[in-house]
Amino acid sequence: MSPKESKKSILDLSRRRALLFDGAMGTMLFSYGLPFGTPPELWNLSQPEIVLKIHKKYIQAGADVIQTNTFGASSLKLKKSGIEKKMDKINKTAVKIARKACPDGKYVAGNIGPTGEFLEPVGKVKYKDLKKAFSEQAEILRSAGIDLFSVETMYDLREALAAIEGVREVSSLPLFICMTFEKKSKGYFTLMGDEVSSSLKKLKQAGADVVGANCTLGSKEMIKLASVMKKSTKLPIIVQPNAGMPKLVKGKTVYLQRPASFANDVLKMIKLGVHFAGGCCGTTPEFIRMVKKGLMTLEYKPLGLS
Amino acid sequence: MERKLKNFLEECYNAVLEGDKQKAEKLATEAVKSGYDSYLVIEKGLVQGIKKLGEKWEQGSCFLPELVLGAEAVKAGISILQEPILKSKAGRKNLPRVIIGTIEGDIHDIGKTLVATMLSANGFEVIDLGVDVKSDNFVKMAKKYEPRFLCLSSLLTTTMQNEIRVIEGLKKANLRKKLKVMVGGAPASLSWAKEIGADLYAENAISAVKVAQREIGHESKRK
Repeated sequence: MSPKESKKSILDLSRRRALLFDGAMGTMLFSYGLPFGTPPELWNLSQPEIVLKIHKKYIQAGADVIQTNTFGASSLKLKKSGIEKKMDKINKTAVKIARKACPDGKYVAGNIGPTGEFLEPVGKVKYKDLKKAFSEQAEILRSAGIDLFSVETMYDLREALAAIEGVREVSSLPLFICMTFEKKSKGYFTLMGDEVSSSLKKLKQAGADVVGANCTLGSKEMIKLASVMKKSTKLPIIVQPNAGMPKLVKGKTVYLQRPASFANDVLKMIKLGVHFAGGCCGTTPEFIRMVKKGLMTLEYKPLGLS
Repeated sequence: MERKLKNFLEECYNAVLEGDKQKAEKLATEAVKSGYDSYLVIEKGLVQGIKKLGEKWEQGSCFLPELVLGAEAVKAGISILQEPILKSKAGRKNLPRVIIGTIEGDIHDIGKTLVATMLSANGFEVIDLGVDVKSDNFVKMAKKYEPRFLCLSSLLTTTMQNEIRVIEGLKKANLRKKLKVMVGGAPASLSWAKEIGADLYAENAISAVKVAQREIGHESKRK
């Protein structure tokens, strides 16, 4: 599939039916024994068969899009673990693994997460440094053969814009971007105080094709946010909620939400007009399978796509 | 309170609300020169500003940037105002000491640094050990610096188990009863604190300050 065709097809396809992203990668890797403190991206190199297995499970569960294990694979983020020299190899290998798991008609998204650095004046990095880091990572992902970009968990609008600009310097592939919003008494805001409607507007202006939200909120709360987003933009919307909120029971992390209740919430959002849905922390292939099952029985009426 | 001083304190308060570090430094220098009571300027000026920002943050009407810049302004002001205080040994002893760090295996530093900043902006002496702090190192530093509080931060549910090791280490080193252990970070909770035998839990940076101050209040009452 050439990049141009893929751009056309995934965005066009979403006019006909809602498309499913995969669920969590990080929490899955932990369940396969990723040791404490090891950056999950390192397993692209040391345990590629496990990363491959997780991708395949999501495909089998019915995901249309799988995301590369490169959330923390920007040079700035890898530097925190002292492995920035492996950036090229980590990203390239991640795409290779995902491609291997991805049959025809499904998509590989190059996943990009925040750098973990704060922009001036709160932190020390400059806008151009962020943009450069994103652009570098995007170029490796692009040349390794992804179909689209999925930028996630952005808690600072300025960093999100740097990511879009960085990606757009090297590629015109479909660009999905998710901010992460917290619920406050006056509505939904990022950690840095960015509000939903103006954020989505600016993301669009900067060149995003699909905008939305992931992480922080469980699926129930995400329904309310989805309706706010729906009112705020005409772009297609993506949601990737957590599997409820994590609880610690006798020293073990437990996500108490059941896949069926997650799926139920996601289907409500699709009925609201959300075009793309997946899962964030705590979700597993079973969650995606349940959403898929529900989707098959749902009459899909795409709403408000311009 | 004389009008001049009152206006001066209000200027300090505003410098913090505006997150203006340079202004806070200028005012602190002026205060030292004019011979104002340093504690008064800290308590009734700078700290009032950060308290106000804390309230606004809890209400959702200000966000991380305002809070961080405000706290930086307070810290900058305090470090100038404290110079004369710290010169006397008695003054140094008065500052409640805190050791803080992110637990072994976890490199998240945003929340931890915010707690450290807010504590020091509220008059605590903070020793920040950074991120991915080995359990042994927490114990070693607690032995060396004898803090009133040991604050453990975690974001990853998978590594927060290491907090148990710190508490066990403190027991072995006979330090457990000499300090209060406070835990925090997104996955922590009051029940988690109880489960691992920590003394205190704080939901966020603002509450960490409140919890520590309340604890000091209790201790002084018991004395």
